[in-house]
Amino acid sequence: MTSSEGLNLLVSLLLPLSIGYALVVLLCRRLSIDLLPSLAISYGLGMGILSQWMLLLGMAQIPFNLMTIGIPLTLVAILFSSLALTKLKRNPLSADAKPSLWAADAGPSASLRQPYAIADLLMSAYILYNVIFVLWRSLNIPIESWDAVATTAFKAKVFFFDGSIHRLNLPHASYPLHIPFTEAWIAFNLGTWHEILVKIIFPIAFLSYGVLQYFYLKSLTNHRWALGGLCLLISSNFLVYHATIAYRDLTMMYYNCTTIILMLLWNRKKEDGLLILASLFAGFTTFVKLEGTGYLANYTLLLLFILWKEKTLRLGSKIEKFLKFALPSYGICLLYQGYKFSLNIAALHGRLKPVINPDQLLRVPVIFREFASNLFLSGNWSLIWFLLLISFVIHFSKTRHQYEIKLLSLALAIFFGVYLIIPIITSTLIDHPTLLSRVLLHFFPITTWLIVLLHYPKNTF
Amino acid sequence: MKKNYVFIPCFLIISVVSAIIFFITALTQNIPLKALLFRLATNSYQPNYNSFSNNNYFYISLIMLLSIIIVYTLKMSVWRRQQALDLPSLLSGVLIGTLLITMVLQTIGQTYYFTHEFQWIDGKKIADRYPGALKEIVDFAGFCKKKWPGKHSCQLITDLDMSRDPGMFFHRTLAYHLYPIDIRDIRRSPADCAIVFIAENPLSRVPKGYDVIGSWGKKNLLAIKGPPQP
Repeated sequence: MTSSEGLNLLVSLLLPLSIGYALVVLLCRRLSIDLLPSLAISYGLGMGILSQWMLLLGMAQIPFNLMTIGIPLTLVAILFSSLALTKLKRNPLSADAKPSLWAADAGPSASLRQPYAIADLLMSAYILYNVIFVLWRSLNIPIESWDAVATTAFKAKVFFFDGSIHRLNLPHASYPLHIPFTEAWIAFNLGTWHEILVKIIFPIAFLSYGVLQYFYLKSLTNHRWALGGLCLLISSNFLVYHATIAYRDLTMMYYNCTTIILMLLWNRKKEDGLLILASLFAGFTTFVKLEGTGYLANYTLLLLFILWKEKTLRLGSKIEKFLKFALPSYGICLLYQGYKFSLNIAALHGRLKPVINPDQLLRVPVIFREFASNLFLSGNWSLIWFLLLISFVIHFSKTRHQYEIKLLSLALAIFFGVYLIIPIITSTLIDHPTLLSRVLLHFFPITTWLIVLLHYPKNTF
Repeated sequence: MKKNYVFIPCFLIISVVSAIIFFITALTQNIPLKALLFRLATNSYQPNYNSFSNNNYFYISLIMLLSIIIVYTLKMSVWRRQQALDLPSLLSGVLIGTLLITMVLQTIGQTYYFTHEFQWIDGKKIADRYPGALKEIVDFAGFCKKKWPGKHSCQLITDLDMSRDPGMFFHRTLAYHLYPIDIRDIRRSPADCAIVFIAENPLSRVPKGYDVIGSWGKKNLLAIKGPPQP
């Protein structure tokens, strides 16, 4: 990478990052937000806004180039930043006086006993090694994987060279366009199509997600347990590998899990800005992969459960909060679905056609066998699913964060339920070499949060 | 016994179970110990596979389950009165111990994979960083773009079965690397060139009215409509 490429790459990332950061500050103005986790959220937020803007340009048949994409976004960044600064000035609370977004609610975290400092060191070394591996591999191996050359990177190349979405006359026209748009944006900034540097978005999504998970778990446990959670996460060969290739699934995992983290944070902090952030992330999830549209229903179920269990709110407030989530997320989802509908393109690529046939029941043992061998014996997930299963058995009734664990278990059950039911009622492939692993990756991190929370001692003060 | 030391018996049990399974595997499958150790280390980083036929996770799971059974049996008999050795802590000890073994094995395998790729890349240009068959395609696409620069729409003539792999993947890879030369009819514009790709006797496959402007290997060529451009 030359210095000018490096600089252009930096600019291409800084613009969405600054939009995202200003929006986070704006929406969470009553909370003190740490820089690092906020940047981790800002990356996804900024990239999501960028891809929605590119979609609007494409729909209006305005040619893509650095000016048409970059100038309006720069104006948005300036506008959001000025609004954020104005709001901060008006807020009488100083940064120190505001409650921290990432502070634990249940009192001080457990003290870190010295004999285990070596464990911290080993865990940090393990994490660092994997980060180096991801950065090196993603920035040295060119785009060569199946889906990337067939669809995502191919579309990005079309957008870059033609400056148009060709009214979705594209392979797999129904597929959402977040990854192709962001790759094309990187290429516009570089001024050329670079087979390696356009992949920068994948290791950054990996790092952003890692930072976010660390702070989320730290807010519920302590530094050591949060580090342990990260080690569990990256012990998955599949996840680490996907951070180095140009598939959409790791980005999908980042958006999906960030949505859930933000929903849970909103539930703890009662700051509606977090719910709106969760809603935006939920909407952007629908624009990463088709599955995202289904996940939007999952988030809605989770939100309804939270609101149902919430005893302090009146019905009117509950409806208001529901709308704060539903309007942005469903709005983003409907924009692309509506555009596809106007072009007579199938919403779900002709997938998920129900098959009403008793023979479908014969698939049940096959489905369970595929799930079992994938989760427990595949080599993709280390021993994480085993650990989760046994952790549930031995620790479920003795945990500190009972409600959080219940919510996470519910979220996991919803995701599993969807993926167990779909192959039974449709003809979706179940024995595809990597399909099941890739959809499991979208919500795999929930298992690592659950393991940490289930094992975290109840009386560690 | 202090609660902190509950992991020691767990690690001992896991080590003994691992050693027994290791020797049984070597004996029953007639594999030399050194070769088995090498396979154990290098097979533990295999991302992107669903099957367990060629990795170590069956053995690791077996070690974990056997260790759990042993720990449970000991707790119910020998350690019944040892309050420090409570069952949840013992089971957590087994889980963490097995996970540590797994992570060490994975890291060794990952390092082996990492080193292998690192050495393979070793200062290569980007165009040379593709495995064999893909490199041929990338080179051919580069050749076509050099011979016929700019945006064009080409018809593709090939002997490949593009309805299944590897033909399907080769077609997608060629289309990707050729762009902005379009062979997937993205622009919906009439073809101004023809690409004969992996076809026997390629010269005989060139459509009428097209002139060959370059051949690449024995099975690939690029032809354009009308007389060749300077």
